[in-house]
Amino acid sequence: MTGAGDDRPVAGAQPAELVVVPTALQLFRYSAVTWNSHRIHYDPAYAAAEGHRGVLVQSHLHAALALRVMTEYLGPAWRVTAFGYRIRHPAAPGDTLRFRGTVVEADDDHVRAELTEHNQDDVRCLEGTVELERVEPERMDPEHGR
Amino acid sequence: MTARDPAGTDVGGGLLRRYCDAMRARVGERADSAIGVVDARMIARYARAIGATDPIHYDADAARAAGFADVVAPPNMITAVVDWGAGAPESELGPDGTAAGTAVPGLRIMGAGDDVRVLRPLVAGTDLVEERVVAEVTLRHGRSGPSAFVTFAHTFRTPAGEVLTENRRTIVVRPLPEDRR
Repeated sequence: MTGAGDDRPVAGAQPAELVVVPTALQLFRYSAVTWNSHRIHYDPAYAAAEGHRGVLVQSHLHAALALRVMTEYLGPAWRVTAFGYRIRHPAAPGDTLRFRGTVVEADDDHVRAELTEHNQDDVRCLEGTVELERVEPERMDPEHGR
Repeated sequence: MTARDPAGTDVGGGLLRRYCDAMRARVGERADSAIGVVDARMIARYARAIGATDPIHYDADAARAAGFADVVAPPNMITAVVDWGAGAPESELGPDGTAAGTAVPGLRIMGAGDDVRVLRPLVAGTDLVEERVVAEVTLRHGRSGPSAFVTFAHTFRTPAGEVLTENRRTIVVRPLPEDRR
């Protein structure tokens, strides 16, 4: 583990998976705070009319949860500098979503990890990558956010 | 068109082709908008909605102790907000609830992914401007029918020009099921 300690991540490390069963309430609050009025995320009848099996987890919520795997593993001394992802399969409230990360590159101040999300049927819902950089406390500049 | 529709008579596919043609004509088109100041309450609400519990998202002292000027947003918040302003009146939204210019009759839209560079974390009190450019339009034919992938290049910066985040956002656009067109 790393967390806030001095241990540095190594290639091959796999943080604890994050398991999330999204609820309609979570999707509502996510749409509200992002001012996302797209009905596929909160109107079950409309979502069905578009051919979906229920209201759908927002693509950005998939990504936010996947990113949490690495940011919570490494702690706030590590900053996300880049990430990319694709949604491969939709998710709906009640699905059991497992978010996992695998460190593929690591040195003292840089980590690259692969991210995945699978549902209860082991269907891959998201795949992506994230890069993080370690910021030494003395390099942090409060006037510029880091 | 596709092998399933050699004559190109498929109504949804025709709609999608016309949509692609219209979007291709807009490639390079740039729109700038002032977002304004992002506040601590919005950051905290975003963090709550994604289940993030680190106090750096909620408490300014905790954020400062971690080296930030104020509470800091989770890394993809800046890319996730659909509308930073009041939004359009309901009467001007499409049948799917999205804004005019996004909604297209007969077609359905979903987020497909992002490719993001974070140059600076977003902290409360930051004044933001967004630039959006229509970047790329691709029509693909899969087993489930045709899909259009439209990529927008977003740059989030301060009014003075310091870039916080660059994002290439891709949405997927497909025909509605036949009985819903």
